[in-house]
Amino acid sequence: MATIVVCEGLLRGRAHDLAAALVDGGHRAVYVDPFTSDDPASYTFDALAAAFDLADDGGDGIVAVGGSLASAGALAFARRAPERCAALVLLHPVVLYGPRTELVDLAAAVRRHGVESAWRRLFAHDPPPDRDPAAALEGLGGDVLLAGPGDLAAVTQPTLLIARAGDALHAMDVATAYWRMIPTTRMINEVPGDVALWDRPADLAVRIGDFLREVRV
Amino acid sequence: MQVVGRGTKVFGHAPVRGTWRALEGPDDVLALMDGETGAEGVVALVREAGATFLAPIYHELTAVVCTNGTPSSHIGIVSREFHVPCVMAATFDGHGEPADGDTVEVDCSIDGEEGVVRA
Repeated sequence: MATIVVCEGLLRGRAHDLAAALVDGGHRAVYVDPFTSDDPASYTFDALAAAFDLADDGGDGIVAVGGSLASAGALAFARRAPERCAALVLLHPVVLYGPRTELVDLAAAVRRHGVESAWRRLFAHDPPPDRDPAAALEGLGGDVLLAGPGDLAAVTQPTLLIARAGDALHAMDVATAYWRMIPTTRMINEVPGDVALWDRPADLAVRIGDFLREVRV
Repeated sequence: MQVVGRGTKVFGHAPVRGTWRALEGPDDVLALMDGETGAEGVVALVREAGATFLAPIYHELTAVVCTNGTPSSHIGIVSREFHVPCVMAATFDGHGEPADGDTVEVDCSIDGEEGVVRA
């Protein structure tokens, strides 16, 4: 049985609850947090990938589940260790081609105005209490996950993509590019206004289980 | 009003009028959010087609004019999702860009791909 490694993005999601729901559903699942450093230099997509790579899969492979910026880590893991990555689940991806330098600008603004105030206003979420989100934005904003469409086309793992219109932080064009270019993608297009699947861990665990059965992982 | 800028509209929409405001980055967005009126009625000028920093105010904007990118750029896709009229790759003729505070009209109702800015 493959090990499902679940990782959430900077906004703090329900990754821990999702991992628990997957375990309840009979899967082997673990939660990892790659956003614990306050050093921007430590944040690269390869470093995020390493968080998935460190999990013990018992030789059966890893299903990398990432939300938001962590979906970039999951994708980086699939490219870094294709022989270990059995499948991908990418929720609300945010990184496409080239560097996202505006994330560096956002990090600078968050530092200038204070995490407490600026984060809440710019991201409409409470700042994560035990993280330095600006460090991650600064580091990852200068890194490159994908050089171009060919990098997506080269992904060989079965991929479940979950996207949602009407989210200005996670634009549909990123998810649409993934869906078009990754050859083996299934896509769940969430209905705006519904409670996001990410916030319904039990339901999301069922959808992931259905997907893994379909692709026989 | 006369046409001062032209670009590619993201989707068809009746003309809208608002107050021109250049938003160069997240600091400008935070300043706008701190103001009395917020982003209501603002026609935002941005120069990068990424413009993630617009996220917290997108639903309030009257229109967006971007000097870069295409309708399939991030900002174009988001404007369609939020039904905010948007002109991409806008250029301004001899009049130059409107000044902050000017009343402008963004017209995405013209046949074809063009969207225009009037001031």
